[in-house]
Amino acid sequence: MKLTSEEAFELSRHFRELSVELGNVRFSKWKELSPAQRRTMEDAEWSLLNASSDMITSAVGIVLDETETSFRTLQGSTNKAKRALQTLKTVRRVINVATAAVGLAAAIISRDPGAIAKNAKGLFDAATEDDT
Amino acid sequence: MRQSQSLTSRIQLFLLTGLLVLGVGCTSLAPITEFADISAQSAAYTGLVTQYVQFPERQKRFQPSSQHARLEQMSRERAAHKERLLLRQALIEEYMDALGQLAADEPVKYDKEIDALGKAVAHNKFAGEKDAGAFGSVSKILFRAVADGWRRRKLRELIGESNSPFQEVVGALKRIVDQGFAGDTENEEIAIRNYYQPIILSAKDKAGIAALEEWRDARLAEVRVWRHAITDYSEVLSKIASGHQKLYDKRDDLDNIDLLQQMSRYTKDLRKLFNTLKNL
Repeated sequence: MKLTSEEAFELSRHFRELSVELGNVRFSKWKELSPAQRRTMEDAEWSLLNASSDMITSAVGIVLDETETSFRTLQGSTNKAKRALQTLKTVRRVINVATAAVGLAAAIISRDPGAIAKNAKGLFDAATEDDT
Repeated sequence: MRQSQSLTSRIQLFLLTGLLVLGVGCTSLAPITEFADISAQSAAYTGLVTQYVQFPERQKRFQPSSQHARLEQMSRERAAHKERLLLRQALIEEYMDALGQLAADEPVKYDKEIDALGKAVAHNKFAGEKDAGAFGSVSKILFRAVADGWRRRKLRELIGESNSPFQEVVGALKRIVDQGFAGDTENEEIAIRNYYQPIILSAKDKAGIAALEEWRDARLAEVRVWRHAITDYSEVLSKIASGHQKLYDKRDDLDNIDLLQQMSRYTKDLRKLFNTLKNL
């Protein structure tokens, strides 16, 4: 059975508490314990402490997995917002195209081939300019 | 002359109608932009992720070599989380940045382009200089009104559709900070005690004991700074989530003066927390 993030965090706390309690016993009975007993207890304390840290690592991974869908959804919304901001910038290009189109229209009305060519190029440039 | 007057009147009528239709005269959403900006900056604080990833390596200083292989395995697992955690922070930053730009009064100005259009109209004799000037002024106001209305609609949509995943993503990060990162600090304190205490208990020299205690306390003080950063960052995430929830609750009334005042308060609190985090 897979652990939930809450269960993993809870286990992490239990392992930590056990490690602390074992440490309290070792230090309070320091003089009564033989070096071998101290060593055994110390090893157990480190093991419990690392079990606690391992559980934190697992819990973090589980939280990340549990919220992956929300993460992707929010990513989609953020991209949409960025596109909206880009649209605002595109409006600038539209106005520039309109300005160039006014010049082209005047050139066509005046039937001036040189001006038509020049304004047509201007319109093309305005329509193809970079948005940024 | 008469034709010109008639055109000017038509432009004025057009302007008035346009403004009425568009409902120009919206309150500035600057407090929302400011809240979003400081949220984006604060969320980007990456110091805690670095601490989380480096934790097993730091533990090696205190733990016997028999535990090192296990710590190295933990190190690899945490390194794999690093990018995912940073991506979460970056996404919150990017999202708040986009939200702030949509709430900004003038994210993009069109005045220069509209002036050029007015000049083109006049230059090509489609209108007189005076009418072209009026055309330019009217266009600027209408363009701004259209852009503002469109922007606010997009802002409302963004807040509306993002609140639920936003709360989940920020909430998840806060749980990681509150329980995971804070748990690391507790384990670090225990490791420091386990490392120094046996040496102190076995030592005979008083000066040596005092020096060891000083070292231990210096290490514990480092952990306290780290814990302080955790508390502050957790508070940052709470404020961001709570501020966004307020925006969601009032998304159809973003001009609401109470809401804007609340946003200003959130901004003030976040700025204070951000400055503390920066200096840690």
